[in-house]
Amino acid sequence: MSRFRSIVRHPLWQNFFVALFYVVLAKWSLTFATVHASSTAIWPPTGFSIAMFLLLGSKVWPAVFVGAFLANLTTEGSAFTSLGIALGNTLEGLTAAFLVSRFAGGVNAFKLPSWVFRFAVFAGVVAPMVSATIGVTSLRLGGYLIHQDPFLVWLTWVFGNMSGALIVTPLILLWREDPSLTILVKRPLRIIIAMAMLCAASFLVFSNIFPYAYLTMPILLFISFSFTPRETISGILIVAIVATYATVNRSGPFWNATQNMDEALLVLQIFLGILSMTKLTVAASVAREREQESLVHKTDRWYKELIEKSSDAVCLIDADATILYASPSTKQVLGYTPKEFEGIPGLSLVHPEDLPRIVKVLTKVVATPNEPIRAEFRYKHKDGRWIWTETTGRNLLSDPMIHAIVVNYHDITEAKEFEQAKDDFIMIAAHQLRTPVSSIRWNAELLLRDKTKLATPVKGGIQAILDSTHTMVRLIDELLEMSKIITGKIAYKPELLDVAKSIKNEIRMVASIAKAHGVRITFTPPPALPRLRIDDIRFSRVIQNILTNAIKYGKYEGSVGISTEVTDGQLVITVSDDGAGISKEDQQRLFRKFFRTEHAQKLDPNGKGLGLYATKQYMDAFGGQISIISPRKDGAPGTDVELRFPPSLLTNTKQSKKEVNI
Amino acid sequence: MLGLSMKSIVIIEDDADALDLYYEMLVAEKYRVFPAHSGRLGLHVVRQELPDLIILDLLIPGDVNGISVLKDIKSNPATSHIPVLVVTNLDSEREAVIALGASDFLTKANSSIDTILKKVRTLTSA
Repeated sequence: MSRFRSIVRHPLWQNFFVALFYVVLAKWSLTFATVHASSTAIWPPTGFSIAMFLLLGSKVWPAVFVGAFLANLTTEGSAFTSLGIALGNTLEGLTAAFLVSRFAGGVNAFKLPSWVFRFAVFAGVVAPMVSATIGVTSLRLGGYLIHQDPFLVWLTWVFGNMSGALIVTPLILLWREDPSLTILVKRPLRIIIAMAMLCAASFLVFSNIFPYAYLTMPILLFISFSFTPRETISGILIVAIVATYATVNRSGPFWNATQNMDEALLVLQIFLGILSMTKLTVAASVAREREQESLVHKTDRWYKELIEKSSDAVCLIDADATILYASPSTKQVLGYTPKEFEGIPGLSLVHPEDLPRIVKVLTKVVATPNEPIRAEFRYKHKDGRWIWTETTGRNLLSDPMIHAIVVNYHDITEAKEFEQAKDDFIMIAAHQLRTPVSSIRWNAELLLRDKTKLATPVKGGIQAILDSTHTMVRLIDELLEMSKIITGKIAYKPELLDVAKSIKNEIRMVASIAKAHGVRITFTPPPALPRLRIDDIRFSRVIQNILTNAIKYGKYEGSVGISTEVTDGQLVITVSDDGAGISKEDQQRLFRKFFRTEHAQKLDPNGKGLGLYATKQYMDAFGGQISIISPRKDGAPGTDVELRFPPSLLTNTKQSKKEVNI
Repeated sequence: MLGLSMKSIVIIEDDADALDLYYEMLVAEKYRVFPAHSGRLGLHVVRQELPDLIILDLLIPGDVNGISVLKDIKSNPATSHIPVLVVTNLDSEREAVIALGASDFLTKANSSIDTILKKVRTLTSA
């Protein structure tokens, strides 16, 4: 079978068969020649040659040329005229195939209505004109058209080729694309009805009982809507055959109207050509419409499957968090069926401890359209227990397709519990670490207090152990503090703080580091700074962190300045260094856990990148703000770190008296 | 007489190492030390000896933990006057402990021997 295929594909065999069929078809058609033996009102070979060029490519031009030549030679005319006509026919086929391939979808020309129209123009008008012009000219030059009107000949040629192109080409292309006859099995009833109607109409029309050709049109329209373009052109073929046979036998509307064979056939061809193109356009439209519908339907179903089978639940809510729509996976996550869940106020199932925060998040979502905003909170499962959800909401209220806020969520209870267990473990472990550390420390201290003289190296060793324990104590404290920050379990204890005194104290604490870096710290507080109602331990941590950063990462042997002022009711503390400054990109990431700039890593490879993270958490908890300004406010190189404390934290004795009076 | 002028301290602490260290540092400073490694035992010794100071750790295992020992001591009229110094690594209970009547609260790992001795001196000189 594959050997047969490869033979069939070989250009030589293709040319042979095409030429053969061409000759046969041409000879048969020429028997209808009435105007001139070589020009005919029915010329299917045009349709055939165009179809062959579209299907097999321009490589079969020799076949068409030879076929046309032989057909004409054996009919009438000289070798010269036959050559000319053959040339014209070949060019006709090539022209049509080229134009149709380029602008009308090639072999798919009957899939789009606009392509059908273009095909009609290229293959039905332009190409036949090429063939007719060359053909008629050849005949004239050969001295063969002396007694006839060359224009009539030319016209007949054009229309004859036109109907050939408009009927035979689609017939070949559409049947080649789908040669199966399964439609007979699938919709036998419809086929039978259509066939019966077509035959009846053709008979009625062409046996002069109801000699109005347009009777065929509604039936062909019915076929166009019920079936595909292939059946449509087949129906047209049947009409064409019946009509041609009848007209040649002097029957039917076309004969009646003209009483002249040439004219009758000509008019018939025009009718058939137009019939073909109009019905094929309709058929193409219908086919396209069906395709679109099926595509939409398929896509619809695909998306539906996706949503329903996803393990994330989706729901749509309005700005008040009323559930407008719930996907089937709601049952999996929350235990409610979509019916049970739709319509309820979504916030009513949020855990009371999380509710105030989630209300704020919802407000933010409504205020920022199109932005996905994430939150974690507890929600009540149908069976009464609380589950942790990770939820993302996106405001698409102004999206014309959606008109709602899209909420995706899934259950993270297990992960959350694991995380909390981990954090609890860290806290417990840190506490437990303290026990051996205190033991080491006290043992070392006791050894050093011993009245019996210890050798200096021994003393030195014990001192070193003691120093290490101090480091360990400090690290454990940091670990515990950090784990409290991360789990949010810090208990802030606000006290009335003398800001200037606290800052001066911190300057003292960092004195040794400052000395090691050769850095000079300047601080001149204004005379009457208000007190801060704030947790003093965390406040000093903030100041210490910012100061240490300025010293460590600022200019070596440079200067660090601290300024304080009250602006707009806020207390603003600014720590400035004259170092290298911080790039804009780094400024964005500075407060992230574990982030360190390259510069910082070089200067202190042991840093953990947690200082600013903790500082930001503290400032957020205070209700304040921290900003990095680099280059500095006045434009100088270096960094300004600005700490703003809200008016609610500020007190000075005068103000508090006023409050009491109120 | 020999033992009467020395101040007595009951130490309720389950960690044997820590007990040893307390013992060492306090005996060197001329205190009489009564160690107790469990809450129950500690309460018994306290009721018996009525010391000048109690040093109490919070993380003592068993059915009588540090907080309940503190509660018991402070609610018993016989012992409620005795100052209690809580020395523990569980620093989250500071407020609760002070509210229950403890005289002071120290984090074990963060306190040097000097700090402890100073506190002891202050509390026993009352």
